[in-house]
Amino acid sequence: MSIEEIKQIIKQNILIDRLELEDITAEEIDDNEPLFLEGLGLDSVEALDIVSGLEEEFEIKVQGMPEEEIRENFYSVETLSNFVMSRIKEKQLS
Amino acid sequence: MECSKRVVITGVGIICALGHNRFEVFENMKQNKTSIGNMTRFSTEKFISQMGAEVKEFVPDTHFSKNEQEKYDLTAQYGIVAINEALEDSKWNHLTKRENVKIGLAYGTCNGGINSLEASENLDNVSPSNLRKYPFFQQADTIANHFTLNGPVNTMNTACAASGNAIGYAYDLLKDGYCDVMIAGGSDTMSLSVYAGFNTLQALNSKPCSPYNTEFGLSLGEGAAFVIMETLESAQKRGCTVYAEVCGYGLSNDAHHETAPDPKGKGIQRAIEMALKSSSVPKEKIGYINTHGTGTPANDPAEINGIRGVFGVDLFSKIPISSSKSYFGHNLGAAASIEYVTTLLALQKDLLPATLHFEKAREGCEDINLVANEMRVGKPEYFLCNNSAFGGHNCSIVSRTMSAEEVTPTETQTENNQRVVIVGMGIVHRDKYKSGSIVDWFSDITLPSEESFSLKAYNKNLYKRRMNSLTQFSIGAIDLALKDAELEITNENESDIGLVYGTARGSLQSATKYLQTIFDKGPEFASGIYFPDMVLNSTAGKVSKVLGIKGYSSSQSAGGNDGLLSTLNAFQVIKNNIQPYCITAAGDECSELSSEIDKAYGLHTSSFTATEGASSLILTSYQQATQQKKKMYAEILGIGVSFSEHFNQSYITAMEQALQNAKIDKEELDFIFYNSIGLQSFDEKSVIAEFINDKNIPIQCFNDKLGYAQSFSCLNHVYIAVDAIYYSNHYLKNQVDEVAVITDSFEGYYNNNQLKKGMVISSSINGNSTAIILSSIN
Repeated sequence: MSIEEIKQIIKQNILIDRLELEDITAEEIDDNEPLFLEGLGLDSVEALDIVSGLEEEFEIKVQGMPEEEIRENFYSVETLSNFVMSRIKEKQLS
Repeated sequence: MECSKRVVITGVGIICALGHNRFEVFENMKQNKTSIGNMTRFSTEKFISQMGAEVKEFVPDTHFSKNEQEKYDLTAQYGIVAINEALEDSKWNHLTKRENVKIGLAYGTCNGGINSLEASENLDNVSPSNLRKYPFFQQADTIANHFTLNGPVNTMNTACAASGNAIGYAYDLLKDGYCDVMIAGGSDTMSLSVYAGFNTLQALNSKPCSPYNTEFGLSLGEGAAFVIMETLESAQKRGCTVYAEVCGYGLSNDAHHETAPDPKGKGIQRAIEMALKSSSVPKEKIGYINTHGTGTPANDPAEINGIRGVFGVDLFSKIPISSSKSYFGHNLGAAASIEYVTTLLALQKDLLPATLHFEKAREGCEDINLVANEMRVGKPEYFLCNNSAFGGHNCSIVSRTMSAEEVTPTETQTENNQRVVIVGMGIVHRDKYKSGSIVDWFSDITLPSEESFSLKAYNKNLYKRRMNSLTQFSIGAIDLALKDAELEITNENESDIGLVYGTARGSLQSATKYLQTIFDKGPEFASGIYFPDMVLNSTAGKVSKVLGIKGYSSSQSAGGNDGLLSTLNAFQVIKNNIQPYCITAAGDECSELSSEIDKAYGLHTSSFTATEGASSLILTSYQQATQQKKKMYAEILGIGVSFSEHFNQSYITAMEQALQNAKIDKEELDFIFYNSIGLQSFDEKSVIAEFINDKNIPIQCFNDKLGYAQSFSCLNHVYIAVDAIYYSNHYLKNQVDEVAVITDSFEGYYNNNQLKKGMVISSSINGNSTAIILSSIN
């Protein structure tokens, strides 16, 4: 799976469909836009829902991740896609 | 000056993972045992925790007939087992002794009959019998029928604070003389979908929980606990054991977040302060605090901040504190009552419950005088029990340890008796909405629209994404009522305004979304964003947050008289001078699952169309309204409540009690509005006509125009009654054109009549009845 495909799944399947973000389309979400606070305005519960979304979409294990790591890796679609990519690779190696 | 009664606990009953009765539970507490262990009820393999506190070796056959087992969800079964023990303990178990005694039930639950919905593993094919076992109010009604209760019956759905809320609610009803005995507490069962939700929120501890310790997370439990409450006078007359006196309680809302508490703990602080104030107990006298203490990183330091805020650093560090959840987990709707009952059991033996598995205090909790790892000797005269919940609801109860012989039952005199008036009204019905009078709706002959109210269109600043319909309607109606009352919520008055909200079913749109993801994808993929809406107080929580309402706060379910029972509670808040203002509101939304539940109850055969919306009234005291120069629509003179499986019996009792409390004779009534269910088996009008000896006054139901919905239809009738009283007096006096409108609208009943006094009555499909007497302002 390419990084672009991962980004598309995160934007459409997770942010738009799963979190039901309104008044915005997948195309309008900037890769580097912050997901939380002043960016898309997501909150902590939505962050945890993204965790479930990632597990479902990419079949990777994310649950139990400390809050600081979530904050770091879930900063934007860009950082999140890189995180997913590295987890997919880890999974393939093991 | 009126006298108010003192309320005591005369019996306790409990079933939880730590034991099936009070003796087993206390014995295990003495031995510092935890009942938290590996889950067996369902697979937890894919979750971050495998821990839980399950009730083991529960054999329904020893308690229930096959027929009862089929009809009662497990949560009602746990409740009945605990209540049986409590009734026996208080010696109210013999029916013969209960003749002419009015016994009610205040039932707290977080998840209702969720196991009955889960049983089918698909929402499309839940059997009608299982659908009937799901609604929150059904558990209380099932129990009320099981014990043939005849007093007030109501379900508190304030999630993890629900059973504490129930004890407070029961205290008010007894103090104000609505009944002789109240059974109060809560019940909840272990549920896969609830476990999955806490898993998604990463709130679970991988080991048995240890609040305030460096290991974070909670452990879920299950069970029920109930107390028997009556007046001190009654307890002394019967010569029974008195565990404690309930001195007062406080409720509040954080108005902060749907799942997390305000980190500063301001919400729980307000609840404790209200409890201390209402009980007139100085904080220096509190000798022990049983905390909510779940073990999560969010809850524990926030709660401690709130408590420290009340008592100050010095006093705080001296008061022994503990959370009992490491014995039996977090029992959600039953948490408060299980913790209250076990605190009473320990205090009976001059011991304080402990927090087990404690090693080192976590950050922000270092200065707690924690009763750690084993019970400590202690004889506090007064003690506090706290609980907090999703939706931001908080509850704190002040109690006093005592024996029945200790004091004479001198009634405390109160100067607090306020006249209660209505100063604002707001309604959302389908896509229509209005502040104040809806007289013009009745001259509009167009059929109700099928469109729903959109909060986003009404005021997009009040709307938040994924907001379910029920929450949109409720925020709309309450905002409209506040505007009508010219009451703006500011930082100065936010704690002075209370909210009591009634909803029979909550948002089943949200519940469906949550449950369906679990059924379709598996519990490990549970939706964290919809999980918080599984609790019915989620709507009241969101209303509070969006509008900034931080005072007295409760959410309740009755299944047909919800809006009237929430009005009763709000009425008591004003009458007893707890808050200057209190909002009462109720709401319903249509959904597929809701229609299925309607069918299971036979409501689809009602002659009225199922509808949706919300309505709200703003209550305040006559004194406050006068001072603030508010427009006063009408006064609430009195309310009556009763339960019977035969609705006509509870109907009559509720009407009689309402008249008695209003201190008027039925001859004085100018009209009676009734919220008919529209079923042939419920001939409400005949019961009323007979009750008033066929006196020629209007007896009217408006559901043919507005449709029927379980929670808010009854409040709509109060709305119309208030409207009719105000306009018949106001405009007839002033001779304006609206007279014509009113007389046409209400079918000519009021031509040239000034309406002075009227009654509104409603019964649920299960026979839960409430009647309210309204009067023009004198």
